[in-house]
Amino acid sequence: MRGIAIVIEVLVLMGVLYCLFLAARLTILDVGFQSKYDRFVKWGLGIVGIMISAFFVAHLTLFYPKLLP
Amino acid sequence: MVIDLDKCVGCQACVVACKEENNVPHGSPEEQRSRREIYWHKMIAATKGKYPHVRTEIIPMPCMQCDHPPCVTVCPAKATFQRDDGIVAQYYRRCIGCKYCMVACPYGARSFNYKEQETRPYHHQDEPPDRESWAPWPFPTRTQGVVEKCTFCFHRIDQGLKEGKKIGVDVVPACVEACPSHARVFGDLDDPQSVVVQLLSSRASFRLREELATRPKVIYLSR
Amino acid sequence: MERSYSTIEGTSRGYKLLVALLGVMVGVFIVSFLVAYLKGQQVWGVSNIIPWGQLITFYIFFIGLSAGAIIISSLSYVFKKEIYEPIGRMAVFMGILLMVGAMSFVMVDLGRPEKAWRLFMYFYLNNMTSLFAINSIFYTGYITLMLVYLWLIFEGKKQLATLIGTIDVLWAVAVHMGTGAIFGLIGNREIYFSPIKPFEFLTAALTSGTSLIILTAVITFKLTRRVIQDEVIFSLGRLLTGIILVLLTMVFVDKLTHLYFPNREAAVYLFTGNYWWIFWIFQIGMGIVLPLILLIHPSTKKTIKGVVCAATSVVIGVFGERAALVIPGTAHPQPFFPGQIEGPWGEPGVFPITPWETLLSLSIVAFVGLLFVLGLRYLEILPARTAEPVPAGTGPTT
Repeated sequence: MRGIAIVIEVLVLMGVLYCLFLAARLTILDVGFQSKYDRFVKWGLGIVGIMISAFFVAHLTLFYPKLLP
Repeated sequence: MVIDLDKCVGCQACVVACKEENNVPHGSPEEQRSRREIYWHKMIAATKGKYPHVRTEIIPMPCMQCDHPPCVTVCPAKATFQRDDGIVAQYYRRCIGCKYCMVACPYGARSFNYKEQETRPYHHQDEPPDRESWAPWPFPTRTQGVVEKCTFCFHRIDQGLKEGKKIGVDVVPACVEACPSHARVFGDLDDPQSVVVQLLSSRASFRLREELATRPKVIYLSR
Repeated sequence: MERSYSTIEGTSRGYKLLVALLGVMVGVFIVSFLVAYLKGQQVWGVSNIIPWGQLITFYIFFIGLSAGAIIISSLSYVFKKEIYEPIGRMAVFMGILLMVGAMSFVMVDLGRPEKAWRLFMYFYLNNMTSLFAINSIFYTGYITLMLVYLWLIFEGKKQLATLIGTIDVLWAVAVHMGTGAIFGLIGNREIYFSPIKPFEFLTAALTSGTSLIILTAVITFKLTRRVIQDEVIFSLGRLLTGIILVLLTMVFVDKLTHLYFPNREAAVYLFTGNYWWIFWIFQIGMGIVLPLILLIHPSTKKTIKGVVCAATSVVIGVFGERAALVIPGTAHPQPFFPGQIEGPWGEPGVFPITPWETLLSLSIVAFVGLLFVLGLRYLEILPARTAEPVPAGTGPTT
């Protein structure tokens, strides 16, 4: 039961993170960096996003409160 | 707090009482070997001289609750702070576990909590497993990954102040209460009528590592 | 003169193998971090006596390397020495990646990494008297400046790059002196407490950064079949000699100060205690003595191999210097009361080298390496491959 809740929460957080990073990437592109850096920005944010998601899995596994017995 | 080293026999009842009161784990033998055991209150024995002319001082060391605490200066997240009454308290919610305060404490009073106590219980050899049978206490556990230390049992003090009891007489920290030879006295250093101030004016006293000017509030009366 | 830069093709088997291996190591990184996080930090070698272990050692090592790399890159972009232009971009890129690595190390070492955002709530939720907090200002500014610097270099805006480069060099000095101040201002640990620590850290950063640039330049250029002028390596080697001599002076003065007055017990512990070998073999032997011999002796200083050996020795030696600070500094039993403290509280601490912590550190190093290799592949960092050595303008060689 707790496992399913953790999986759902991680998916929700990954969705939020994806939206935030997409916003960051679009802002960077709008501010004026040329599109030749798009791949660099995408990869950089992607790697950071994967690391943060892995950390979310660890943190929630450890600290998610015990649900109803 | 004033500790009379003449009366202290080194029984370490204060160490054990502190662990009982604050649910500090005793530590498995493996943890003791690897120095990961948590001691909110420790006791050291300092020896001078060569056998047979040896003098040993047995010194109980809680957190010194310094007036100029170096741990407060170095904490990046403002997780350790000095209360108005002078107690240096730890706000576990803010602590990020960087362990800078452990490096900066001149008295080694701080310990890192390596694992979550609820889900992976520490080695409690002789405790009843059912914690509800213990007296209610607001902070029975700390979470994993934070630094903890002696709090001068401020939960007792705050509760006592609320109920109007006299601090140092009716309400004392657990270590003071447990001492069988009444070597420890607790009180308000600012109150000229308190026992601690009178004791300090009666005999020679010293603090540990005074050259670092941390102004600890645990004062020892020499033998 | 305009030089063209290119990416590496990334088609050779060696490249694919390297990327695959480093990718596996990144998986190891995630796994070992999860193990340490879920089981608790007791799987590492840290204890209540030595709270900082391999991870903090690598953290200060990498910040030093990053600051050193940026200062070397400034030789090309700020001081406009054309001979260093082939390695300028690589140096800035390495500066960024090493800083990313350092941040990974410190984030992983925290007991509760998810609260690390508190470090950036300047003046509000933060305690600005703490050097970690002051350093967090320095580090964020430093990474931003380096990214801007690299972008300006890619865009070819030379003058702005020089300006930002100057600011970045000064900022790098502040960053690493701040890191040194984390240790130098702690008064209760006698091995740490010294006003010369920030400067010692900065000089060690310069030596290790220069050595890493030498090593990376030689290895990268050889593996990608590019040619680098020998004079670049030799002049960096001469620079390295000078900086090592400065480092020797600083270490000597620091230790002399600690030894001079009778309260020299901590320095004597560093020299003769259970971790004497970190100081003598690594910091002094491999960090100072061996490279100086290699760089001064006439038969080795004229060969690329000699300079590369000296550089390797310096990198390992400066890592030992960081370790000689972190581990014996906290292992030294604190003198709570005059006299011999009995029992475990009077014993020097012991730091076991545990497999999980070692795996974690090596995998983060591999992660930085992977980012470097991927950067070489997708960004134009190395000079374009030509048949003959790229001329250096008005240099004395042909």
